[in-house]
Amino acid sequence: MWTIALKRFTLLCATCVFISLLAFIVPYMNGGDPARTILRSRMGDVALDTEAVEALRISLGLEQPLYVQYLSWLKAALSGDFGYSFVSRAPVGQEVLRSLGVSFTLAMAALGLALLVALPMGTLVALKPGGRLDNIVTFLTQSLVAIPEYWFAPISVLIFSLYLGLLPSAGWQGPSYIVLPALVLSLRPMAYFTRVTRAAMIDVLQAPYITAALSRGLSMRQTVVHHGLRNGSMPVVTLFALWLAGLLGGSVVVEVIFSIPGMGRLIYEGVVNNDVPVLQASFMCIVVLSIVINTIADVLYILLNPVVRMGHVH
Amino acid sequence: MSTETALPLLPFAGRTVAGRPSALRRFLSFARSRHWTFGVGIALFALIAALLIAGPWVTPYNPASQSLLRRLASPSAAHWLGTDHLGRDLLSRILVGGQFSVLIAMVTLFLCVTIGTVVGIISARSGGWVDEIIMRLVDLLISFPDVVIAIFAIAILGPGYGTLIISLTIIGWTPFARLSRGLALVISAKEYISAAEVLGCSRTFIIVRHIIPNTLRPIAAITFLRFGHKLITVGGLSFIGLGVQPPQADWALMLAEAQPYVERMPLLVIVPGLAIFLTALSVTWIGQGLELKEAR
Amino acid sequence: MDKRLPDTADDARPEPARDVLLDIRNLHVSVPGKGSSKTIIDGLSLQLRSGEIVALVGESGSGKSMTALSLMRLLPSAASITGGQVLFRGRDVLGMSPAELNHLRGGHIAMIFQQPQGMLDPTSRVGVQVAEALWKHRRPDRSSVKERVIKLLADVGIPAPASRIDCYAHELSGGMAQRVMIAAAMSGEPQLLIADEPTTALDVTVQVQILKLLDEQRRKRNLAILLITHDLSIVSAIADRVAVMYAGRIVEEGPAREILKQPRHPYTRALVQCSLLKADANGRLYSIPAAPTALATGQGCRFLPRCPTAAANGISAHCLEQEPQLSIYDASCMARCWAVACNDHPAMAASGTHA
Repeated sequence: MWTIALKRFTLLCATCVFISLLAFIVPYMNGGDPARTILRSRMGDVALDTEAVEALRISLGLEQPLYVQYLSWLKAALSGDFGYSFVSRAPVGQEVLRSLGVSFTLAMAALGLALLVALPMGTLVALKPGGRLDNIVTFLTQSLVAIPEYWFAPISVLIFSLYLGLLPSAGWQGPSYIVLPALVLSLRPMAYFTRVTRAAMIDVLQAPYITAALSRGLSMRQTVVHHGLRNGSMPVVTLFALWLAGLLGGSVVVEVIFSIPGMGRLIYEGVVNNDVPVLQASFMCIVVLSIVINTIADVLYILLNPVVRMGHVH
Repeated sequence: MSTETALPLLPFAGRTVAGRPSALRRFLSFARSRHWTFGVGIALFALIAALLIAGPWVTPYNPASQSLLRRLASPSAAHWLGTDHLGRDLLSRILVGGQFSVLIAMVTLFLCVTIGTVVGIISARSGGWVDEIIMRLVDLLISFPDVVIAIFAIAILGPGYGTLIISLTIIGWTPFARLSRGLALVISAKEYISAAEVLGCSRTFIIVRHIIPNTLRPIAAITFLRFGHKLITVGGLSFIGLGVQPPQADWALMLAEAQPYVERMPLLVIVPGLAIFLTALSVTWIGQGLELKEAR
Repeated sequence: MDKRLPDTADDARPEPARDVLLDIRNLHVSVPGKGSSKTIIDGLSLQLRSGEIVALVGESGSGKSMTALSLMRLLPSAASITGGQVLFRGRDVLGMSPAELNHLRGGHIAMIFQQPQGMLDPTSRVGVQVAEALWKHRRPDRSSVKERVIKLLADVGIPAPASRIDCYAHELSGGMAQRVMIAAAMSGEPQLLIADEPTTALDVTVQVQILKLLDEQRRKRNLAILLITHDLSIVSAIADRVAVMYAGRIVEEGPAREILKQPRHPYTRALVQCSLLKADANGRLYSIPAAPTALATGQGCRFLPRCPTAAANGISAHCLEQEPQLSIYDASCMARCWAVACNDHPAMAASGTHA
């Protein structure tokens, strides 16, 4: 148990160092004068004449060896200082934090919606595997994953905003703005969650302790709620975390379509405008977060499962 | 048939033995044992593939020819699906619009399958620290969102089809590595591998003759499933302008260009999206048909 | 191997109350398959009275556990009850609505199982599971629940019960888990306990403790127990009556002492001989030939292919032609064998009176 934890922690640290190296190297890789790029990021100013660049190059230590530069960059980065955006000239750290908040809200809304449908649906279907409802739901979950979100999004905008006028078509100004993008994003996780819940619940419902619970006089519904769901939802927890990590930034297409100022759109605009500090910061942020979330998911899985928690199973 | 028990797992693994039904016949009986979506998926995919290959010769109009006089025309006898905002024939563009994204998805997948399978089998056969390192790497990469990695790769390497393929491969190989490693471990634990080793067969011979044939079906299943996923991802990148570039006719690009006209002419959005959906759906159905153990 | 409990001496055994608690009449259970369905319980009848321990004995596959599950209507979905009646205090369990069933299960009939640890939800605390039937059937007020659970656990001999209520199943030994199962079963204050091989998975020393506990509960609560087992030493230790099952039917039934002392049916005789683990004249352990054959629905005795009596004395025409009925012999015992002299028929000699 502890060796696993130690191993994971070491891996986590090593990855973070590796990722930071990658992020640091970006301005040296994407063409252009690194000095100019870096200086621009530090000064938040575009209009730099050659003399000023040379003067700053020396004063900021850019003639120093790369590893020294890396360490000082890393030190700043660790305190949240990633420099200034080329475009907005605002401190990148704050911008990333704000975008992350937006993306996190959106992802949680989408995944919450997915879970809200998937858990009852998967459970209901698992009660009668092979039944008519099961066939329909299985067919749907197999087919929903093939719907591209950039197709579903405009169609849902067409229906709910333009024809019915119920919901705003784009922007991020209040709760009603979350509904459509969350709906669009939730489709695929919903299908996967349903499938996983179904499989897990079919397994769990055959477990002897379910029979035992029924023999105590609990109704099927009580048995499923008290003994089925907890055991059956464990694989969904892992999947939920994977999707959460994936949607922070992975929801780029939906964020662009609905003009939501989240992580995905930040990256997208960073690429379009070649906004190096934004790219560095968001790259580090997303990768590190996805590792951290996955680690948390593993821990959560252990907490939910007392057998693993006590270290009886390795 | 004595191979009946092994068949569900390894339908393509049989070596030709006199008296066995032909490959086609065996495939047909396999297809019949699947859910109906498997057959429909194959038919749909064959149709789409045929249209994509024949596309350049069967288009009623030049997909690139513009005519501002016929902008946003509704469907008519001349233009079955109408025209887009530049007066280009929608049907013609749909017929050729899948070529690039499907090709990119295929090349990417080919690379992913090759790299992933080789790495997975090496990992399983080597064991020890090689295995440990490779699997930790897989664990790590598999948790990254692939669109994000693709975007960063584009940021570093600059846009282009090569970048697109490379960036999708960086993460794409991992499921195949994990799967083929698992399969190789299971299979090498089976007795006939030990039998082959006892008989003095070389390691290469074991891999080529026993491990690869027996991993084909599960890997084929994942390949088809990932195909749909890759196609949608490539489309997503094209949609936001980081994939296939205009003026190339491409389904996702057409979708993006049609955004401002969605209310005036919904067909411009519906049809290209439907094309991507149906293509992704067909391969997904094939993959699921291969994957599911029991058929209903 | 003698597990006779010190305080269960024969003369101390209470006279069971006379009212019939559970009356199983002509129960049929089958597993529908493609085309033909397979009958796994074929016309089983059995009665239980309050305060009585009845043992249902047989090899694995004879249908004992299926009988237990069908009494609670808990059969796996593949199997279904195809006929008969299960009367609990005169009410037919087979005709009950789901709500009535939930009331019956735990509140009137409780059940314990073979693998106690697997029968406890691994993710839920022990105390919570014990309290379930209490909540469901006895509607306690919130404040007293914990107290009552602790008392229930103490009743089944769990040391330091107050600290055990927050345990999980995997933290308990098999014996402790079975005690918890018994406490959970008792929490609804049932009149009948179905114990499906309750000691099979436990160590021998723990087996005796659990049996003793069951016997205590029976005395204290006037509980009827249907004890399902394949172990005849357990039967001799606590059962009042015994019913021997073979291939979905009862082949011999009667007071446990008499049947075990002098079994008449060749199958029971063989079981008793097996359980003694005595070597025969040739120095070999006794064993019954082969395993129970799949249920043939033909005529004739089902045990015939393995019957040592028939093998020794030759097969009588009766055995081949007609399945014997369960007939009374010796006033209180019943056997299903042509070779046993019963009230209905004399002992049929080998080589047949009917040619």
